[in-house]
Amino acid sequence: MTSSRWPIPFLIGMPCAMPAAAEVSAAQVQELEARIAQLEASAAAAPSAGTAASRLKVDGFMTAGFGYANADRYEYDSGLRETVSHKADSVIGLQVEGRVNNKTSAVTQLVARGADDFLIDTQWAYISHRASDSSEFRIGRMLAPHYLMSEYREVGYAYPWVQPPAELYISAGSNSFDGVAYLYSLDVGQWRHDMYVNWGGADASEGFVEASDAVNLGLVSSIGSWQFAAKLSSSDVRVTNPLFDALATQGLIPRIDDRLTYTVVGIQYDNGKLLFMGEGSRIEMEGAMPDTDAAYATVGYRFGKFMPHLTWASSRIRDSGDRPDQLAFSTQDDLFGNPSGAPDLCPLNDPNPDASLCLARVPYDPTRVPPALAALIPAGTQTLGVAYPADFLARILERAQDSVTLGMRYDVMNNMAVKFDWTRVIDTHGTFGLLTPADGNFFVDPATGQAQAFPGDEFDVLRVAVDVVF
Amino acid sequence: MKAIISSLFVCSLLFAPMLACAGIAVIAGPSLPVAALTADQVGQVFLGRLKTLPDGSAISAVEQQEGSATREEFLDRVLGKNQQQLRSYWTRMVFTGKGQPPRTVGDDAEVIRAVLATPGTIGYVDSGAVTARVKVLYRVD
Repeated sequence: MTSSRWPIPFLIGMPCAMPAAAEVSAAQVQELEARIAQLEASAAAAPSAGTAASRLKVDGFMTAGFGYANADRYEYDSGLRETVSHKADSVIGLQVEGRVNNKTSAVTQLVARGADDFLIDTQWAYISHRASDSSEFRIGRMLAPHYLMSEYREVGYAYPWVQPPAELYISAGSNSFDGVAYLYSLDVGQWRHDMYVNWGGADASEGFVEASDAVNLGLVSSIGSWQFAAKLSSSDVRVTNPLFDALATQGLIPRIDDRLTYTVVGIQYDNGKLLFMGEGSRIEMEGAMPDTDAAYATVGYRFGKFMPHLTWASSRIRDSGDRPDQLAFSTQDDLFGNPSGAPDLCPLNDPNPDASLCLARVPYDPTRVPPALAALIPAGTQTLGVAYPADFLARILERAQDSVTLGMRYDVMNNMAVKFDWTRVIDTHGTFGLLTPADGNFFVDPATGQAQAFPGDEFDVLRVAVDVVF
Repeated sequence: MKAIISSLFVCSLLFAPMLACAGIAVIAGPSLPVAALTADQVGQVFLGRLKTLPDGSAISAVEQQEGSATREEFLDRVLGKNQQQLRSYWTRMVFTGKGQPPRTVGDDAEVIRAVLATPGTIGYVDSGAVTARVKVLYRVD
C-alpha cells in the first residue's frame, strides 16, 4: 500500500462511515443543505399539480416483424407463406389513460395490425374506478382474459417469443368484449392473489360470430418466483351471418347458438435466470362444434441480455366423433351458380362417405346477404348453389397441431428486444392445423375442382421481430 | 484506528465502483405518517400494489434510473427481481391498465430531493447518502 494510492479510495469511502472530525462545520453544512432542500422542494412541487402531463398518460408498443412459412400452398397463422411477409406479425398500439380524479380514469388502447393493413381497432375503451388499492371496477370495452397472456397478447415486449404459441393464442384479431369487470387483489402473507370477474358480450359488427352473456372468472396467485393461474370463460355464441340465417330458416343447416367454455390453467416460474411457463386449455362447445384441448410448455434461460428458449405446443380435437356433421357452407365459387349435374338438394347426413361435396340450391334474397357479399353476386340471380361437404366442421373448425419452437430473445436496450423464432410444425393430425389454403377455400381446390387436400408434411415457420415499448 | 482505516480502504476498494458499501435505505420525508415499513410493504409500494397508508394518505415511490448500482442492489435485495423482470412486469401492468411504474429520478441526491419535495413519496438511497432531513423506513445492510 503506497501512500500515493490513499486519497481517492479514502474520499470514496467517506459516505460509508462519516468520520467524527470537524463536527461543527458538518452541522452548519447540514443546516444549509436543509434550507436548500426546502427551496428545491417548494420549487419542484409548484408546477406538478393539474398539468396536462399529469392528467394524460400515453404509452405505446410496437412490433415490426418478418415471417416466413414453407407450407407449400397454405398460409400459416396470421398469413405467413413462402414469400417473406413484412407485416403479418407487425402491430402498433397506443394507450391513453386520462385521469378523471384520484380514483377514476378512462383508458383507451388503439391497435393497428399489419395483417389488417394497419386499420385501427379499439380494443380497450373503459372507465376504471379504483374503490381501494385492492378493488377496481371497470365498465366499457376490454380484452377477454381467456389465457394467461390474452390481455397483452399483442405486446410482444412482454413475452419471450415473436408470437405466443399459436395452438392456444391463434391470431384471430381482437378478442374484446363490452361489459363490466371487477378486479380484486388480496395479499396473504407472502402470497398475492388477483381475482377477476367479467360479464358482457361482443357483437358481430365485423365477424359472423356474436357472443352474449359472456362470463369470465379467474384467479392468479403468485408467491416468490412462482405464479399459478386458473381461468374460466363462458359465453353464448351465435352465428349471425344473414346467409347462414337464411339457410337455417329453411332447415338446411342447424342454427349455431351454443354455450362456449374455456377452461385454462397455467403455471410460471421466473427466478430472473430460469424461466418456465406452461398452460393447458380445454375449449368446449355444446352442440355441433368441436371441442379442443391444447397445451404448451416453455423453458428459457437468461444469459445476460440473451434468452434462448424452447417450446413444445400441441392442440387436439377431443370430440370430433360425437357430434352431427350437418352444417352447410357457401363457398364463393358456388355463389355464382350451381355447377352442372349436381343434385338440387342432398341429405344433410349423407350416408355415402364419398359425398364429400353435396350441393343444394337456395333462393337468393339480396336483402339478407351482407352488402359486401351481395356486390359479388350478379344482379338477377335467383338461386344460390351451396356446397356443404360432409366434413364441413372438420375442415373449417378442427385445428389440431403439434409444434416445437426454438427461439432467442435479445434485450438490445431497456425498452427494445430483438427476437427470432424457429417453429417446426410436426403434425396437423389430418386437419388444416393453423393453416389456411392460400386461396381461402377450405373445400374445393380451384385448380383441380377436387376437394381441397389437407396438408401432410412437416413445415417450418421462421419469424424475426423487433419489439419496443415507449 | 489502523484497523478502521484499512477496513475503509477495503470497503472502498471493493465497492468504490458501486458506491454501495453501506447497504440500502428506504427513505421518506419527515411528514410521512409511518415510522417504518416492512420489506413486503416496500415491495408493494414499488410494484404499485400499495398506494394508500392505513390513515388514508397516499403513498408512492420514486425509482432510480436504470444502470444505477443502488437500483440494482435494491431490485435484487428488496424486490427480488432483476431489471428485465421488472420491465416485463411493468409492461404487463401498463398495457392491461393495472398501473404505471414509479417516476424515475437520477441518483441518491435526486431521490432525497424528490421525497422531500413530494410528501407521501418514498425512495431508496445508498445508506451512506442518508441525511438528517429524511427518515429511514427500512434498511438492508
